[in-house]
Amino acid sequence: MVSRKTLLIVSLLLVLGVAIFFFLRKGENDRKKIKEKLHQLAEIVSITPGKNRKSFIIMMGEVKKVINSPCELDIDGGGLSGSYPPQKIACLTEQFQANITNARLSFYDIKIQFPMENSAIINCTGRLKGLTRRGERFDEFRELQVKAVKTGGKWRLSRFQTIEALEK
Amino acid sequence: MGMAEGKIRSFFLPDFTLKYFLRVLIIAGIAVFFFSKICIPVRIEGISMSPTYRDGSFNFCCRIAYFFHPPRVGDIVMIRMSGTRVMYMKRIVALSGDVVSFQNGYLYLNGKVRPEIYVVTPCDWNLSPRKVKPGHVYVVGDNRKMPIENQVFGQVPVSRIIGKVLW
Repeated sequence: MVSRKTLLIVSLLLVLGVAIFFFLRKGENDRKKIKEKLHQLAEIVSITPGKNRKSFIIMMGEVKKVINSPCELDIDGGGLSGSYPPQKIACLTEQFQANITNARLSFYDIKIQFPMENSAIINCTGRLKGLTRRGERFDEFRELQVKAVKTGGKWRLSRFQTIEALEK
Repeated sequence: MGMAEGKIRSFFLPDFTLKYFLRVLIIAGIAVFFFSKICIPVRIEGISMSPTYRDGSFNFCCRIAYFFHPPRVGDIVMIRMSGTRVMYMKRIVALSGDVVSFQNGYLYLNGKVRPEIYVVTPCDWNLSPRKVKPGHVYVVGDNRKMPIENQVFGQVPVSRIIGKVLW
């Protein structure tokens, strides 16, 4: 015969377990959506030799789904600083792709925090690897702090800033 | 003979008992812990540490190396970015409080030339003297063939050092 005390303890533990489960899951859906946006951006920027280059209109449509208007850029080494509309970012992506044979943008070690509702801060390492039309290989990686905002139920990336690990 | 055969047979074709699965679980757990927290496998990409480390070679990053002593000049270390999946591999050339500079390709440490036997390519780097901040070390790659503006180097917080390269 199970005593009432044991039953109570087991019930409490169950409730606690369920509460912890839901607490840990809180924000998981948003994390997944934000990671998806980063991967979509990587797909837009990346280009492989066999892949057909997208028209500017298609690229702009894709960029608008990922990038907030406006988007703040503070990219050391790329000479990009200031506020850019998605059209300008699509234009820069097209210019970049025109000078390369192939490139792969990837994001690693993605850590997402939610300092306030509908806003997220993402720390990650961005890596851009490829080959220019002149045959020069490049492999650049930077630690990035990215900001994402949720508007109309959709997450968009609103700021990219490089974090300098090494200071000359 | 029969006993040895039995042992070999049970080694390669074990009985899937609870004890066997527990053993596999413990070994897998130890391996995951060891290769993620103590000794991280590293694939070297790029030529910034050439010729000491070749592009495409393999090594390990020992995370417990600095449990027993602080980083030293000459150590080759792994520096984390946002995590440990992509890291910089560099050599420590100066410690906190040291004044470091480059003149005509020679490294100067506290006003004196520091011989660098690992630098084999001609170098013409020039960098004005700078003092390494507290809690930082100064790191540079061994390949000085490339122009100074293309090489990633400088002072880095010790907290960003993940560990020392094993060999």
